[in-house]
Amino acid sequence: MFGSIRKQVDATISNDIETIIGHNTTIKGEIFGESNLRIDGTVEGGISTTGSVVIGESGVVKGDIKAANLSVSGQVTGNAEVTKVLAIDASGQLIGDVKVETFSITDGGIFKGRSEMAVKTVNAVTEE
Amino acid sequence: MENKDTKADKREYTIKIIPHQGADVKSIRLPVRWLKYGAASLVAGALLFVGAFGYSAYSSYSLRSEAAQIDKLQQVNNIQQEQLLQLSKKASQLQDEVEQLGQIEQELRQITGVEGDAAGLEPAGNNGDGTHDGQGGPFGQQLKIENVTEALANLEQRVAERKASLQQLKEVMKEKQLMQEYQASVNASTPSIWPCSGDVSSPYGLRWGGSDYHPGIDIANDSGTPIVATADGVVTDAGWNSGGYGNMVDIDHGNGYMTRYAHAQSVAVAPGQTVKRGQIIAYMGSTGYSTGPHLHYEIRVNGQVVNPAGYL
Repeated sequence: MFGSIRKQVDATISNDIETIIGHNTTIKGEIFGESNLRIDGTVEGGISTTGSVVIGESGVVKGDIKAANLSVSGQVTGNAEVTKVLAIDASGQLIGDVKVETFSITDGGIFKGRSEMAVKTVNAVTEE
Repeated sequence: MENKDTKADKREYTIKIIPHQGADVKSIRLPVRWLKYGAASLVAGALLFVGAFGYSAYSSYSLRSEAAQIDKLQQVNNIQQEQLLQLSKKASQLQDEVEQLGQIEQELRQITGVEGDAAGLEPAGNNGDGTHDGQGGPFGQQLKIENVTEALANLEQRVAERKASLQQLKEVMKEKQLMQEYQASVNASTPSIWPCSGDVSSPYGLRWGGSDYHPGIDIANDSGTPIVATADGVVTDAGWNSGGYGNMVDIDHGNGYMTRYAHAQSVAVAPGQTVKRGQIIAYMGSTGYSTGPHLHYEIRVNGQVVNPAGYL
């Protein structure tokens, strides 16, 4: 029982958003990491992480993004390479080419660019 | 750092609530002081809660035990009330019985004619004719120990009065009895009947034209007629008298009375013998100075000869 709780806690910790770029912060340069990341300020440069990236409503990214998951509520100008899920919220805007596995855009969300989705499913079918 | 904190802890914490989606981040700034206050107040609240809970538990427990005690007391009270009622009934019975005792005493007084205080009897008549019996008063009055105590005290007083009254009656009756006994003994020892049947042949006093003084009366009848004692007494003399009385009996009756029966044919008693009134003591004859069968009967009071006519 406690073991399962611990597991849950560990999972929660691994899902923590460790890094936040706050409202009034601007970063000019590349960001590398393995953790989850939230951006409410402005990043002028690329982002590359094995975790998830959340762009808040006030967040602005001008650069390419590489991440496992990407949730966009703010504005992104640049290409995105997402290994799992790319979600654009109603307030989100992404201008650039994307390469994703799963792609969702909520009503009102804006996407302008080319998209390429992984052909994993096809492979699965062929495997079968 | 610790040195800095000694005066006023200025450390602060920020708690951020970060949505994993796009919604705004919420942050809460928390000075350590607030945390301390919060912790302190939390502890205080917890203490208060524990205290209140403990108190309420205790009070509910004590309330319950009190309720149980009250229940128990109630039961005891009921039992005592019942006992009190029984006691009161008994007191009432006793009261009635004392009243009856009073009645009996009153009757006794009437029978014996002894006047006395009528303690505890009903007050004097109030022009009632005995045809009305309405009763009343406040209804459902709780019987109190004071009432019973008062009734018992009253009863005690009445019993004491009754006792005193009876004591007095007893004294009076004892006196009366003594008087009666005395009177009876006096009566029994006072000559009051004829010593025998027959004709009075010679009365008391002067006779034969004044030539002789006769100190008794003569009653003549046949020889052998029974002669009886005219009162209770003790025989002092029985037998022959040479002074002319012939065979005779003397009886001392006490109180100064003495009788003599003379000229008997024979006597039936001996000196020292106790005789009753009406008991045969001799038989008529003509012994001694006599002219025929007769009884010579004399009565002496304190040694003085008296006329027997007053004692027949």
